[in-house]
Amino acid sequence: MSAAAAHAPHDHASPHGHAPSFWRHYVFSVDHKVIGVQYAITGLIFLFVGFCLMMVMRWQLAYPGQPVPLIGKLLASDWLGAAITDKQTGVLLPEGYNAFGAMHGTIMVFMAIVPLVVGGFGNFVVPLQIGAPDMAFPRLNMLSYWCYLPGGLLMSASFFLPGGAAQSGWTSYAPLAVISPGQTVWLFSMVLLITSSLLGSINFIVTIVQLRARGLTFMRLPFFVWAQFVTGFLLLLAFPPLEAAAVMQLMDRLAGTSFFMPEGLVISGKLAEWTGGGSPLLWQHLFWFLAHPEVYVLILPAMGIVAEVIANNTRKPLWGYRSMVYSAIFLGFMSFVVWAHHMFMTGMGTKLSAFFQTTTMIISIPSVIILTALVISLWGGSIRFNAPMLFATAFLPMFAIGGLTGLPLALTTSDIHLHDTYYVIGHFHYVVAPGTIFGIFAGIYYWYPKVTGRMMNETLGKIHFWPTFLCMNGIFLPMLFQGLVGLSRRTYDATVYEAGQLVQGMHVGISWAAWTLAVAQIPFIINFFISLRSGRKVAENPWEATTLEWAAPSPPPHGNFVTEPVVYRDPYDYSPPGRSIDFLPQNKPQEA
Amino acid sequence: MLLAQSRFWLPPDISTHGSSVDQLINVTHWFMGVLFVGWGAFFVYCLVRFRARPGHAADPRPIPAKTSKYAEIGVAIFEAVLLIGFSMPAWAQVKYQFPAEDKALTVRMTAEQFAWNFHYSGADGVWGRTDPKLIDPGNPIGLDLADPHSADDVVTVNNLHIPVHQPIIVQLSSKDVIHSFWIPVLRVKQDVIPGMSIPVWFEARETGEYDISCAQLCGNNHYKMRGRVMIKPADEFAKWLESEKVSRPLQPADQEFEL
Amino acid sequence: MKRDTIRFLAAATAGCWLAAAAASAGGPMGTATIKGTVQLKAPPAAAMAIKMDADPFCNQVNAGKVVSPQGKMVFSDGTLPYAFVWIKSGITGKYDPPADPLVINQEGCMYKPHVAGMVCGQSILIKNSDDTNHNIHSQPKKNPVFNFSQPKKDMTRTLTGNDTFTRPEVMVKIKCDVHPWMSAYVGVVEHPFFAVSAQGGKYEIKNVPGGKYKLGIWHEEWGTLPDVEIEVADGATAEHVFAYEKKTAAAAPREVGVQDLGR
Repeated sequence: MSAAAAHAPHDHASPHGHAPSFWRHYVFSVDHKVIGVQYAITGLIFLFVGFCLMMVMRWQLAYPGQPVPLIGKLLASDWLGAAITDKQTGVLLPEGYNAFGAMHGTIMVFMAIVPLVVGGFGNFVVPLQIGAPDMAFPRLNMLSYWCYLPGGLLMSASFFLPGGAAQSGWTSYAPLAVISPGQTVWLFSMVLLITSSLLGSINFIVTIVQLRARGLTFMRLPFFVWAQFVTGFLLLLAFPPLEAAAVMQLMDRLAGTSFFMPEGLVISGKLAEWTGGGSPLLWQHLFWFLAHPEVYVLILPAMGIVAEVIANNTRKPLWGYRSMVYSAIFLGFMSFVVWAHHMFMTGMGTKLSAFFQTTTMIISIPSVIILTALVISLWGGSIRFNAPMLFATAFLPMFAIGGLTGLPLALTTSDIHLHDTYYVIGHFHYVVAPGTIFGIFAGIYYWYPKVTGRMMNETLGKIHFWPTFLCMNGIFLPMLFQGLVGLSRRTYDATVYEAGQLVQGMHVGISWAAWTLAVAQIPFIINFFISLRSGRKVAENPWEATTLEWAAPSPPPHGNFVTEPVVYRDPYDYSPPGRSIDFLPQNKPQEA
Repeated sequence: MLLAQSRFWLPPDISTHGSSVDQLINVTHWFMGVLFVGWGAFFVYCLVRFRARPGHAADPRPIPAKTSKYAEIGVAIFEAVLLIGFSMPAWAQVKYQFPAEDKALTVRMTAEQFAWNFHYSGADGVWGRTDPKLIDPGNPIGLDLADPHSADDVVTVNNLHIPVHQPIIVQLSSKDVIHSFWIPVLRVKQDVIPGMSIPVWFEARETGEYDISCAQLCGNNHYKMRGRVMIKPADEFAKWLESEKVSRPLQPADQEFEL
Repeated sequence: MKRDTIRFLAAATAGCWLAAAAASAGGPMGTATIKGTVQLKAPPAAAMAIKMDADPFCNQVNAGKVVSPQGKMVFSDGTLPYAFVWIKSGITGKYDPPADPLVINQEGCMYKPHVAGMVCGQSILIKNSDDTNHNIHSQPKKNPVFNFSQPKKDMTRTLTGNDTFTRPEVMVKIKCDVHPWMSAYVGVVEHPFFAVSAQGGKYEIKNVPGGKYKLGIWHEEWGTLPDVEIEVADGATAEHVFAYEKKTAAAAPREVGVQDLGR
């Protein structure tokens, strides 16, 4: 039996060859494409929820003490575990602000972005890009989604359980988190979410190592696959300490242990005689040991998406592919040794801070290399400015601002002024919001035809892009100045402080930019849904791309490829020198 | 009270060490600006010059890499200079070169949800004994009033009175959760961690009253955990210290009683 | 014969019905009074005045006043305010809670009243009369916990039904997470026969039905004293003077423990 016939698409679901039931096909599927779509849709919903939380907070920030319009009294309801707003007036309460803040961070990082870029794009695209029929462990893949969804639902349910949602920041520092309400459900949810990522990461690593098509050597992999590969290692190695720490914090809350609680705490005027021997700093180290690599998990797949879209829309190979690959690997390795730059102000000595400053400065170098390679890739191209390319190119200067603003934070002396101010919020949001999220938008516009067989509307895409780009800058650029002037993070009412009074005006501008950003997403949401029905139908390769996923039908059937692909060339063979054709797909033999 | 403060950039610096912080922030931002403008100009140039248009195919020949390599090396060298020439020595000085204890005024600070409690040792230079079991609404640090050393102690809430032109050492601790002691105009920030006593030092060059902010989420009133640092001439400070001693007896409760 | 049976059954039914009605109606109020004073026969505890600098509003509203920690207050004649006195046992009959709520007011950055009693199931009205953020956090053992903020002046919230205190508990501490010097204590009792000692250390429990009772006392600083047997006839007045000579172990409110943590 030829290799081709062996991989003919057929139903693995049932040994008798019957079509799988609705549940097996769409809900409990082991097909990486279905799971990818499940992750993506769930992630997009949580992205929306996380964004909505922030929009309510922005009202309080712009107009402190004013009742929240429309939904103010609704959020004081008895069906919430703890009131977010005051029942009588509809004003956002400080505990509601802190709960929304903690949940905004948690939802965005763990329930929206990572599931989208790794679970969504990674799951759908990686097996296709390496010419595989599915992931190495399809059932494990399904299990990882079904740990993620319950974890996400439990986290969301925390708003409705007694005590309400967690309110100690997504960072959950002890002792505050140990003595605050809502934290227990947060910790249980984190255990589920982390388990999901661990299971998924194993799958990605094994799949990429073992299931590459014939001829697809490591240095012929699309950069997106490299990004997911390094991301897999980051998730696998960095998450276990946080899972352990979450269990330890649970035990401090429920079992009377004191992993993170020192002796002699006086809580609310009374000596807490049940604590002793623990260290709050231990939590910080365990948390940031994960959370720093986690931020590279947030950015690497997005860089991968941007690389794919740029190569495709410049009609030439990426510049410096090798440098980019080595940089991604080096970045992954370095990300494990920089974590304590989040802890410079904890009383760190000169030697330890020197170490972490140095590693943090060093880690900026591979980031700059990847970014610069992507910019130089534009040189000599024939740049098509379609919707995915608009987002992919805008990613570059946005990530640049994010990366550059990391510099004064990486240096301990300047961090004295900037730590825990709005400067930090501006810095990391530049990387994740007009950074990763632009990568996500680029990926959605780019791979939508592969998933659905139809194109999204170009005009709506452009209408989506421009206000989004402007509003993102309108939100996060002023924050850098608010931080420099001296405004602390997580501040329910800035006008309490002299510095806050000076920058309260910026809060108003930022809030209006945020609400406008919300409105700017409407064309995208409309586009997303109507294109399912009335988007232009396409065959396999509407973008005239070279990578393997474009050799499969749109959408690919179960088993992906009609015949097993064989790879003959590098991933971005656009405008091959000395030939008059525009591009050569990876699986096209030399003689064609 | 408030020196001319920019709405966009750093607050005034009235400390003796703050110039190294400000210099690093300013130099780093110039560096960031140069990089962003240079790199950004190249970026925009590419977008315009290499946009797809009729008669303009992509040029697959690789561009010479020399400029970017030298630029990259230059960036790395400059970062090393910032790190080794500026940040590391400044950090060592700011955080660890403490003034001599006999020249400095040392104050103990115990943070709690949501106040900064300051404990001065007074003329005898010895702090009265404190015990968490003695904490009550009027006695936030649990000062043992029976200890003779307590007689000249001063306990203030949220108001750090200090003399100008004298090094100050503050020993920071917390009763309950992590706070962060931040005086922006003095370029002092230090996390306050329960179970640890962490010292900071600074010296003010000008008198006045400025904010103390909490720079670490500590609960639902974190946003209102605002203290004030009152910097006075040395003789005014000495007079204040004398007048604030804790040993005034508490009045009997007849007039103010309310159920 | 049949007629007698019917009459008997009718009377029995009516009797049961009346008895049930009587039992579920408010228990009997009486005409007796139990009163007295609470004295301190020991040197008062050393204390420092409360500094409210943590909140500029609180500081300004109390400018010029010396605010003593209430637990440590002693009148100049050696009597104690804020002692909670209640009939611990001997009351029969069920008492419905009064329709009026227990009002806890945050004014001048102190809880008013500082010590109060309420009947099981009585609603609680909490209001903020201050122009600053207050938080109200109860720490009961047997009753529901509540913990919420009132960041603006004139905000009120009424707790009724399952949200209020329905089980007897002496005392439930209420504190403000924002202002650590603020505290209030509520004694939840099955009946309305309690009082709090006021000016001159005087307490008075009115409308007590005649009978034999045990009287209990609680003070936040000085603790409890052994139960006092007291008998009072209808229309009469019984007096008892409590005298504290030292602190007793039950003085401290319950320790903050693992069970206090939010869920």
